[in-house]
Amino acid sequence: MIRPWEIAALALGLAAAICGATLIGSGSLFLLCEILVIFLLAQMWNLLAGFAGQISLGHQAFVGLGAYTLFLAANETALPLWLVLALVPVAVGLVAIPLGLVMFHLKHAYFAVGMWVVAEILMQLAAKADWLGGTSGLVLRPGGNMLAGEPERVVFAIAAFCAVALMVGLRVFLRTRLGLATLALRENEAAAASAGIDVRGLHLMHFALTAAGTALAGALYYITALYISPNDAFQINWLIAMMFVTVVGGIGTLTGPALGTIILIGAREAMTAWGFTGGQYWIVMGLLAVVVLLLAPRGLWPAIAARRGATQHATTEETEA
Amino acid sequence: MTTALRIDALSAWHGAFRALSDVSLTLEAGRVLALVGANGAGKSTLLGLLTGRVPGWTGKVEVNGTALPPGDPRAASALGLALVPEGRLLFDSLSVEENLLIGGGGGRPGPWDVASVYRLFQILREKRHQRPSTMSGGQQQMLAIGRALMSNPSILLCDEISLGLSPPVVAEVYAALAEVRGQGTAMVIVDQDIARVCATADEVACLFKGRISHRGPARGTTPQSIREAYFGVAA
Amino acid sequence: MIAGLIETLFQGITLGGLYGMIGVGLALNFGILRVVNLAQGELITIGAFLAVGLVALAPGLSFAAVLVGAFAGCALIGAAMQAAAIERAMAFRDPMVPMLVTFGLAVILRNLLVETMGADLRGLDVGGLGQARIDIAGLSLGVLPLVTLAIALAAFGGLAALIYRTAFGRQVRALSDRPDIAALMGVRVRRVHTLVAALSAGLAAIAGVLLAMRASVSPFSGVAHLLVAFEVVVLGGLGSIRGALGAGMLLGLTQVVSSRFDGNAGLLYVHLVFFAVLVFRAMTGRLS
Repeated sequence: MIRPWEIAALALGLAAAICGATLIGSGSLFLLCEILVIFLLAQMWNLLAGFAGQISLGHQAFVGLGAYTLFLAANETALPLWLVLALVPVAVGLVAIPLGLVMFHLKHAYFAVGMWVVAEILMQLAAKADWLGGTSGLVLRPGGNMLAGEPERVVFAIAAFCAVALMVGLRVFLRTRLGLATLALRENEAAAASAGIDVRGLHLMHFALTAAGTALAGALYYITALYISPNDAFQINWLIAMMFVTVVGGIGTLTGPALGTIILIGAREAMTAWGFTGGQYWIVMGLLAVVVLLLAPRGLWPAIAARRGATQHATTEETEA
Repeated sequence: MTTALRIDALSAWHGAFRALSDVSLTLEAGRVLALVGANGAGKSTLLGLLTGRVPGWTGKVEVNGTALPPGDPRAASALGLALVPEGRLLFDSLSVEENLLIGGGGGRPGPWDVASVYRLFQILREKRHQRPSTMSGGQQQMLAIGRALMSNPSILLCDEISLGLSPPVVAEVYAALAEVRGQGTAMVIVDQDIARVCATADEVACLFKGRISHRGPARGTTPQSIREAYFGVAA
Repeated sequence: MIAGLIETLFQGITLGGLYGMIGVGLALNFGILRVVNLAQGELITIGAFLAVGLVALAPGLSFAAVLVGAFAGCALIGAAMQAAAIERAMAFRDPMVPMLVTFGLAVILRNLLVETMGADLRGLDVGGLGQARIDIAGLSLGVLPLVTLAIALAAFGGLAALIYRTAFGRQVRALSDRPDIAALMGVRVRRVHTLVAALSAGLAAIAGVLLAMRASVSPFSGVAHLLVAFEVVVLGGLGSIRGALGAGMLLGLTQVVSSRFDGNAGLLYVHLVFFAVLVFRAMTGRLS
């Protein structure tokens, strides 16, 4: 079960989240919020692709669904914004269950492309829906009023705590029976099924959980943006970020997406500061992805961990000798 | 007499598992070697390695006096090795005739071309526009042999040649192999049907747990004598 | 009424030919190399921009020369990507690695295009061809859609002839069936892979040129093309060339018919039809 140091990490994470939210300047908070959101999104995609073995090219659908659900529910009801935020992952997770039941008729490449098409359909439907503001979208007005204060402080606190809780939670989860079953599923689906693992149920669970997490991260992001439109919320660039961060950082590892997020945002901030254009930044990122894949197809973190493991191994051998 | 195949101190690994240990063999030009042994004894590994499909090995292999590079199927083909693989492994997107044509892609000169393969296996001419999967197992085996012959090999490697075939078809296949041999082609034949393969071969080599446990003339070899060789004692 | 119906059918079929062209390169790549090429959409866009660039540099160039130029340019890019990166990625047994490599390549290509050509929409000026119509059996048909359809059908025919009638095509099919046995038959695996990648990129360029003749193309439109290509390939049966043409026709007809009822829906109905067919096939077990 959960270990003492993991509880300590959770407590520390909570303290850091609150301290950060109160002490850090507003400008930096926006950047930190973005970093945390990208990390949460990537970790969700990683959980589905790297652990449950299902590549989705359509998880941007849940970013949009989460954000639109939040905007609509906050604008149209008198519920407090942060309560609505808590309900968003529940609602989207529940929607994902019937969607998953349909999508799981599709396997591998069919599933991946099918998800992308779902995201595109949702984008087009949102653009056609007048009650969602059509192509021009919605402005966040909880209960009809503009959002007061500095929402980024709360968003940061929530996102930071969620990031820590996700890391701890996934560590704990992977030790449980279900977690071990998930790892077995990744290694060999047929063998896992013959060992009595409910493959379909497990896939559905991961699909719904990652949908919920993606929706929460999307909702958090658009609270700081205050404005949402279909072309933005359902855009493929969300997926590109999730995939890049996971693939470069290390697919199927818990630390990989964190490393990938730091590289993606760190390189952007650095290159922008040095006067490079956005296009040049993405060319470098694309090259980085290709080179990493060719040299370390499981990503940077597994390669680093393997090297460190090797040196540790070597040093213990030396001391023993 | 020249040596078609010389294998010297050959060892091969599948990961940590040593599939072949210190195997040495020679095969003179035009001779037929029966390679027998239980499942997992290393027969398919040996044929896979000779045809460049198993890359991890040490030792020396010479084909007609030229060293065989590891893990290079095209080089193996160019040196004169051709494989009739276990399970036939025909190209089902290609017609029967196209399977033969692609077999002749290596460009080695010799007696075999589409016409001479059709003379050897009449049935293939009749079915030349069909897909291999529409034919019987025996016909597919004939196509696999024909496809291998198209490269005019100096050594024909046949893996599990009679597996899954009825006795009359097996007889037909071996009759064809005898004709191939008449053209001066050396052969290595792997078959579970020891009596049958030893009736055709000149020599027999027995693989046991990756080592050659027995080597001798094929004439007079019986399943009984092979069993003795397997276990090292008279059963 | 009947004339209107035939007119709609005609538009659907010509658009279907274009959709088929958008998908066929991807189908070829997947069918032979077993690589899901996420950079295919960018190659289509680059094909369009190559044609626009050629016309700008040499205004007197004939249309055929522009088409060949765009084909050759994209084929070179496709061959280079295969030889430099994708072939190496294919050595890892995991099919996800080459797909993710093409994802990285797509990001590079898109941004290289934006950096060199700017973010503006570009189209090919087809002069009077855009409005020209000819009368066949009492029907007035647009010349440009006819030309598009003719080029698409010629490309499909040429590709089928290459794959099913030539020695090269034989090698390609053999390699797709059983790569290790094909190598034993003397097939140069890497060379055939590179040529197939070049061919598939060249077909993308043709699709791009046809797109640029119809309407303006944005340097960011690669992803949208990729999605259409995916739909065509998936509906046509993964890797099937003939299936790609049929699927293109179905989606083209869907688009034209649906735009009669709802002119402001983009590709919504195409996506819906695709999704419905896909799920229906999967639920009835007609999807591997």
